[in-house]
Amino acid sequence: MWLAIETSSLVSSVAVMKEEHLLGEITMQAGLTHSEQLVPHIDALLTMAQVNKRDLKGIVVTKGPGSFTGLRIGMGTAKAMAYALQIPLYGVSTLDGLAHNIPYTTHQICTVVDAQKKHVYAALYTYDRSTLVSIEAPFVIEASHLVERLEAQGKEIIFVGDGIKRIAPLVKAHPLLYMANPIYQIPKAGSLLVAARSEIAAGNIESPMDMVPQYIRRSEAEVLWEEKHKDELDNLVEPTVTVVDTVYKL
Amino acid sequence: MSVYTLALESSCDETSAAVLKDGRLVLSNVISSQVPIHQKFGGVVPEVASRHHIEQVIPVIDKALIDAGITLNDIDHIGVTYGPGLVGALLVGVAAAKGLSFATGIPLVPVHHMEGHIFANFLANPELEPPFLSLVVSGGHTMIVHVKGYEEFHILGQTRDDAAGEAFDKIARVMGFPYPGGPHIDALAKEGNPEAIEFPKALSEEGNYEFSFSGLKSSVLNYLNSKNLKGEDINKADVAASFQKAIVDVLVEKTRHAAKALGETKITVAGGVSANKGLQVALETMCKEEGFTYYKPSGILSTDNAAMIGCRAYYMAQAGKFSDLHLNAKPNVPIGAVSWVEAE
Repeated sequence: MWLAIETSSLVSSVAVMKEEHLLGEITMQAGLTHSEQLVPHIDALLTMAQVNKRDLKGIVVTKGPGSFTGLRIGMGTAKAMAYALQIPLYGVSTLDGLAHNIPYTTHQICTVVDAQKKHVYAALYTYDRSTLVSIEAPFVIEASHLVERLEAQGKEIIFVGDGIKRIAPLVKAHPLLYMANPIYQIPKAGSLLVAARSEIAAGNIESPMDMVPQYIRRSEAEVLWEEKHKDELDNLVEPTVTVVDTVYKL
Repeated sequence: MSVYTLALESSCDETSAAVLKDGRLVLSNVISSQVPIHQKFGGVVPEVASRHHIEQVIPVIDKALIDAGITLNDIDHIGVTYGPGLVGALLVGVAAAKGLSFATGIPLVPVHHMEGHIFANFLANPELEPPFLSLVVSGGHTMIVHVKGYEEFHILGQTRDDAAGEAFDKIARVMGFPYPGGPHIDALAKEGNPEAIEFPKALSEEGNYEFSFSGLKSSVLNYLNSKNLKGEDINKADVAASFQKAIVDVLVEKTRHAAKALGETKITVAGGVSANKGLQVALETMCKEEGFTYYKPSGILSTDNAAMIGCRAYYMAQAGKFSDLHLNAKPNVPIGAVSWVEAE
């Protein structure tokens, strides 16, 4: 039994899988915060699917890219559960999960996740017979540049992901570029489980002790700081956290 | 049977986990501090802080349990800071605490960060019992709280604008000190003359327990600017000493008057600014003059740490104040707010 958690966008999605079968999925796009609804949804899902959390063999969580805060809520919850239940944790790219929303197509799949400021996180996939394979690893790009590039490619491409809101207005009735139906556009935990199969089979286990989201983008403050301090970058020693460990004896 | 509390704190730039026995005995208190990381930015960057919290949260919990020599199975309840603080930072602690609570079935206790600071006094002073008066001073808060019982708080007054710690940090920045600037002002003030410059003390009339530090801040900035314009030398030590005295006098006098008005004879101080030596000496002197007993959370307990959250959580658990799994982070929430699910 595997639990999957997807909170990389405004959509909250959790799913539970037994061997290769989906026992249940709750996918909500109703404007509630992840913080309020995520754990109650997991609770409701396991109860409805009659799954005891002690029977979970592993937890799959989106690694990113996506909403920084959303990723941390999902990963914070997943790490704590994996730590407490002492079960393996698996990380899957948001974009790999989204690509699995579109099964068995001869088109190329371009997954796009909103990256703010006219940009998207993107990745390209294609099917080799019945297996989805990555053509290009995730990158961040201005939406208009991505559209220009793919228009020039002259291949049939289907877009999936919430980055469509940046892409669609730029694609003016192009004969080869399609937008997935809104119901397929959203990240789903069930698709994450499909994408996780190879990770689980390969035993690519993440540790709750050091797993971090793949933000792709650095924080705005760091980027601005480096622009202002270009001359200091060569000799810059990045400080790290200092751990104080106090045991009191009364 | 002993009661074991696991507590988590991530409201600002410290990721911390602690284990307490019977509410007042700290078995472990692990703090992962990001202070060196935020220094180059001149203050805490919320996104950078959140990124370190998600990396550190499980290691600090693990270390706190190992140091305490117990396992999750021994824990009776999990306390977590749900506010106030940086929302993205709080959310990491809340998500982790809810994940642990759900996975293990251990009840969750939602703790107010500033109530935690007040409760740090119970850890540092085993004999302390309510009622008492607490002067709460930190980077985000300045208030006088009447702690009538473990579950009864009355705020007599708080700041209308800047918190005391905020004023310290802003003036320190203008004077060229790195973040966090408060300790630099405190150190420099020892070498200066506190009577050298007269800075304004707002709302100092008796019976008014509210604070305002924005006028003082402007006055210090104006003083520094006008000296600079005239090309005159600035005695930084005198500025630091006079500025610190202006803040400390207001804090101490209001505390004195509040205690007298209420007939309270026990005074505690809480929050990050309680580490200020000038404030400590002035409070101690005032308490001696008035015959009050003065309590302070020494050293690490005055900074952000999970042990104080655990102490608060213990008393909340005793009072049956537990949260369900819908608990959310609240960046702005007053002391005494109901965060738990009321029993039906």
